[in-house]
Amino acid sequence: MKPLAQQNHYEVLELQPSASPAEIDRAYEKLRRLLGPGSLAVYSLVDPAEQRALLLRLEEAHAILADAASRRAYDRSLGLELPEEPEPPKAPLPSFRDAVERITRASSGERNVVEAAEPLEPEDDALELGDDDLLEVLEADAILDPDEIGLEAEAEEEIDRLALPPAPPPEDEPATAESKPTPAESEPATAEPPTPEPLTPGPIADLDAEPNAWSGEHLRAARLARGLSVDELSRRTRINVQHLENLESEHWRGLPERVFLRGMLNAYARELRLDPQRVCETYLARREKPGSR
Amino acid sequence: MSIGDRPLRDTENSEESKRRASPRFKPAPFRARRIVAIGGGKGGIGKSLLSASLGIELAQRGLRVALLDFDLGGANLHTCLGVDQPPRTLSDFVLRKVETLPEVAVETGVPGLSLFSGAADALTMANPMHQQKLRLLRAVQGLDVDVAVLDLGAGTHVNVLDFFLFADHGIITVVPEPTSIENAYRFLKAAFFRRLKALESVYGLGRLVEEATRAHATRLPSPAQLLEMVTAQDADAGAELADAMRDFHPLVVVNQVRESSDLAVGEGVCLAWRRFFGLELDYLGYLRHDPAAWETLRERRPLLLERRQQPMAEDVTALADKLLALPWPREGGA
Repeated sequence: MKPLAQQNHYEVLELQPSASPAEIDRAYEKLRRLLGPGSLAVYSLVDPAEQRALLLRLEEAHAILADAASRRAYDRSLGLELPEEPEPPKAPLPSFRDAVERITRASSGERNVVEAAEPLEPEDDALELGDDDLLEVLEADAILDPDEIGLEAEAEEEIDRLALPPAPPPEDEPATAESKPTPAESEPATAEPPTPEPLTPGPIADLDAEPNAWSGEHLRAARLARGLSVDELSRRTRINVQHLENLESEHWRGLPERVFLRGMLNAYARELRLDPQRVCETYLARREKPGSR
Repeated sequence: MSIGDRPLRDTENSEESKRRASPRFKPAPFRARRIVAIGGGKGGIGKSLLSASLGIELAQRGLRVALLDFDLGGANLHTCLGVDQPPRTLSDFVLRKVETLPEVAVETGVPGLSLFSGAADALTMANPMHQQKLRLLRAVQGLDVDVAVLDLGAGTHVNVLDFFLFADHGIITVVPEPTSIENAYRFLKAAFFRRLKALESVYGLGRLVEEATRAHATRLPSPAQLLEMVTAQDADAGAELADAMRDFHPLVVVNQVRESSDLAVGEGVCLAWRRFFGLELDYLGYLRHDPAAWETLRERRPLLLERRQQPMAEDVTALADKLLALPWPREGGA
């Protein structure tokens, strides 16, 4: 993850540039709640100054992006294509929601009499591990070498296909006039529960094998395998058509600086359900090759 | 801690080094398709119950599962499964009282689930020697099972860290209270630095990491700071370190969830770890507090076998689903 000072407002809020106003508000509230004062999750991990710096940064990012005019100006400064209409907000993680509802129902109707948890194992003494102990860990010899055990050292990242059923063939998007909710709406009603977000990216439909390294040609093939035109992908990702074409044809001069290009690749990969990290790393590595610029 | 163990790598010209350099050298083929280690840094948070429950769930799906009690000084997995103290333990294998690891296995009454128990007493095998650890892990890797679940002991002893890092999937268990969170972060930091130590010898990062570490007079650098410092001096080494950091990807389970606000702990810990420490952590899921678990434990009847409809049983099912959906690790050998 980039240092906070180098992150743009979208990165600070962990959003795509195409995020809707509702998503921006939700992201800000969630990050404040999970990383802010009183959150159990940050206990012992961060000192107060660091935490304050992050909260200020979150506030700043939200202030800019929540206001349409300032957001537009900011997007222009980043060289992003401005959306004509806001993207429909995405449904929240259903598994998380379902879990909250289940817990709420369970706690309201079936509150346990037992207030304290019964210990399931004998308790150990409290641990004390300061920096001296960590240094000791660093200085200890006798590292377990994977070769000694029999494991192969990982020479390159390899993502195996998940044992999941193949994704259904891409369906046509509904006509643009049909289903555009107003920006004020928070959640669209859905007839069936949305698919829970997997822990890892899903498989690519109709590609024989996921390439180890993503080139523009591979990206084009993935887009076509999804049945998407460049125009359609541009509409969905808010990346202009020319940039998409330059990305796929590896027309380096026609592409922006690395930090913005990474954002584009992330949006491209997520839309096609590819692994954004793999796509970014391997595609950007092609750009860095001598003679590629 | 076994600081006195000899360094793992012999001299460059040793016979062993030459054998490894040979293009015909192949690591011994291993069979355990997926190795899961469950740790957490703090005792009493339900690691063993989680390990036992996961083992039962996976076996009931038709997988061959080995459940290994790696809490070598305080084994109690057999208690969670309602099994009597087995006649042979992992200590017997480590001390060579039995020659092969399968001799230690006992049936659990759950088809497909075998138990490899830890030592009966706390003094015998709390601190195995380096070669003993290697032999044990090699044997685990050679088990003819689909999944091996390692129930680690509490604490951040280097043995516990090494076992955690050895696994394909390392799961940190936390409960929604400050001491558990604090210990989880200590464990994760210690595991990361232990991983870094291993990589130093492989990628030659030693000098750079040492310099970066010494530059921080008052506290150790975060991985992000470390990466910045190493990259500034050597871009290639920085790239290697960045890859290693990405590969360090443990999972989190929140145990003893009682209220909806407890659910935020898992997501929050992953988020905080990424934002403030710069590394990735994934939220595998949660287990709701279930007093029935304690009752059945006391009666030595595993919860999952007794009450399939209980909340905790549903949660274990969800955890197993997510675990099995993770990418399969690479298989080595033939």
